[in-house]
Amino acid sequence: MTQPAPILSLEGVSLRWGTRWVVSGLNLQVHPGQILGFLGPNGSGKSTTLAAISSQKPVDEGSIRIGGISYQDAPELYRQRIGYVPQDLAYYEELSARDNLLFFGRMFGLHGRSLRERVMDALDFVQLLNQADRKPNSFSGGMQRRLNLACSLLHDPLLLLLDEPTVGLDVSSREAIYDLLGQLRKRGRAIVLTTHLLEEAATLCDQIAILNQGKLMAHGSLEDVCTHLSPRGLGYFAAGAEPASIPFTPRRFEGSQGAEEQQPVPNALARMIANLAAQGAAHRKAPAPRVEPLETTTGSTLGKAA
Amino acid sequence: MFNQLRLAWEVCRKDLRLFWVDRRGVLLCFTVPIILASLFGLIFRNTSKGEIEAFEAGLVVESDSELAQAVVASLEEQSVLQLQRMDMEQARQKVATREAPVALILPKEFGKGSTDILDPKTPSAPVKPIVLHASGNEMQARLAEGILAEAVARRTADRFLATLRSMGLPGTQAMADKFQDLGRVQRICASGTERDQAVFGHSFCGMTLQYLLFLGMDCGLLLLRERRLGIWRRLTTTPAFPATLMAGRALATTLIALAQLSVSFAFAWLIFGVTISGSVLGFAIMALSVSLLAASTGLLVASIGGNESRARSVAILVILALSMLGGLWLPPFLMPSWLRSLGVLLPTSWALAGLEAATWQGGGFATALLNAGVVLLFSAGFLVLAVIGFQRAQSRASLRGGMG
Repeated sequence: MTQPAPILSLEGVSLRWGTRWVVSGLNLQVHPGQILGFLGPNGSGKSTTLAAISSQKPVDEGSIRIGGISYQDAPELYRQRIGYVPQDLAYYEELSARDNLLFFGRMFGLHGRSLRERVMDALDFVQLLNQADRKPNSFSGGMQRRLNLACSLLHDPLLLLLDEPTVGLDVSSREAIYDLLGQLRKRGRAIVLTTHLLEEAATLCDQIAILNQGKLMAHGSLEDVCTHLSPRGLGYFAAGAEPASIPFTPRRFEGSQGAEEQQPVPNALARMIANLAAQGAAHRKAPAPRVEPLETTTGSTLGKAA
Repeated sequence: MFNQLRLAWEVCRKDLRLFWVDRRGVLLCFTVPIILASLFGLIFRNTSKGEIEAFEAGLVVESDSELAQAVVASLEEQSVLQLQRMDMEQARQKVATREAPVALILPKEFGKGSTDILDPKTPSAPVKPIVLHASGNEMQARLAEGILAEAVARRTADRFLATLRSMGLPGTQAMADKFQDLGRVQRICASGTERDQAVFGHSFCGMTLQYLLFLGMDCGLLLLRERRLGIWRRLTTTPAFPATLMAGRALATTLIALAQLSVSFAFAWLIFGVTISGSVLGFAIMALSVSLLAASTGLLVASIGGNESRARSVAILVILALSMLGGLWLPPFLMPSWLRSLGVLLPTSWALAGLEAATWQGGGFATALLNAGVVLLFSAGFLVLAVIGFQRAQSRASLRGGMG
């Protein structure tokens, strides 16, 4: 079976702040129904990459395409294909949940009856339909996060970008978000998220990309990332060695450039990989969800504008 | 392009809605400038009636000359200075302790030989009366000086003319009468404007303008709040460009400012009779340009101020300075001449001049057009600087916050 065309493709993407390169030579693809999780310590380039994909930061080298078009080709169409969910609760507390959704829907060109229907669908999807006319400052943390997500779903984007979507949430609220993202994956949406939570990456993501100092250190499924770590590296994990001393050879991983040589791994990243390896051993990953083609989702609540 | 205009309108609609949901804020927004303008008007109304508030003044009379007695009699007829007779020592003490702002002193030799001025044998220049005052009481001292000088000049002239008449020469009587008439001053108000209209016209123009600038500041700070909450980041991933988002914000501020200005002047017309005596079209153009000025000033301050609290502090300083130096508080003639010259460089001076011309001063369309043109130039400059500054601030914020 041929794999559908990728929704998101990054080819040789390098990004810099001022004169300093913070991401270099990134190659990644995300297909319909896939969730890619960026993992890495602070300053690794996760959020910068997300900012570039969401067109908030220009690409200095390489290209980013969504559904085959880059931001330079058609800026408005490119943005129409993205739903960006910031880490902060980015909505107006003075407005009701419904009014917030109406505004963000209008910003994506929706209006009239179609807008009102989308708002109701989105509220229903995030289980806030009976809270539509309440102001979000009276919501629980989980409800606020769900509203934050709903604000980015109205225009039914091909690609959903989430910056640490469950930060500060309790377990049950986090699971509610996972459930919503799982539903979106079933509808064929591509999702890219950044996270510090290994459990989140293990539970939710089909692909994990580990970034360190702007370079892709490892990329693939959880099993791939764990199995393809250098045998020496795994041996060290098993022996419970100090993370700082773990040698890490990422050359086997697709997408990394210029990382042939043995690289020292900073403590934070090494700990993260060690935890990931431990989780990979224990984690029984659920069977990959069946990916429905985009055209079959057009009749679904959030697939109407696809 | 059309899509960006539509998106700017959507941002504007949202901002108007945000403004409207805070009903208490709306109420304050419309009533505060009216209250301030009314209070300023009521305060300045009294001074403009020519009714100067009386104040205490010491009177030291050391001279026993006829002229000194006549001057004292004259001083006692006026009502501005509440005279209290005292000796020199008491006068010095009262002025030094500021119990009395001024003391008028007629020295021992004052008035001696005053009628002998025409006599070349008069030994020396006449002794002058003195006004004693403490620092900080210059205004009262000048007023007292004027009253004293008038009393001395009038009584001296009376005595001189009496001497002239007593000579009995042909024509001297008529000459003296004419000479006496020379000293009488006629005061005529050149403009047909009602006094209340002028006073309240100025206060409503000034206070409304000042409050519009504060409104602009609030709208600018809203932008910074959006940035802090991540809303700006979300908005910049929509099809709207940053300039579109800022244009939408500026449009909303302009519309709110126009509404505020209309309500203020409607109140001024209904209660204090301040009318648009000049060109109605000129007033409309001025209203639009000052509203745009408010919006652009707010955005500029927000763009250069950094975070919300810093921006608020900078904004308050800038607005108060622009208001004071631009003559929004006090009429320009009360300010030093160098400050009045500086006013040419300030948008608030032009805005005030245009609004005053269109309302109580009865200026024509050309006057309004000139002032509105300058105000619009300032607004355009502020907007350009605001967009540049905000983009730079955004880059800096991304650089700090976007490295994860």
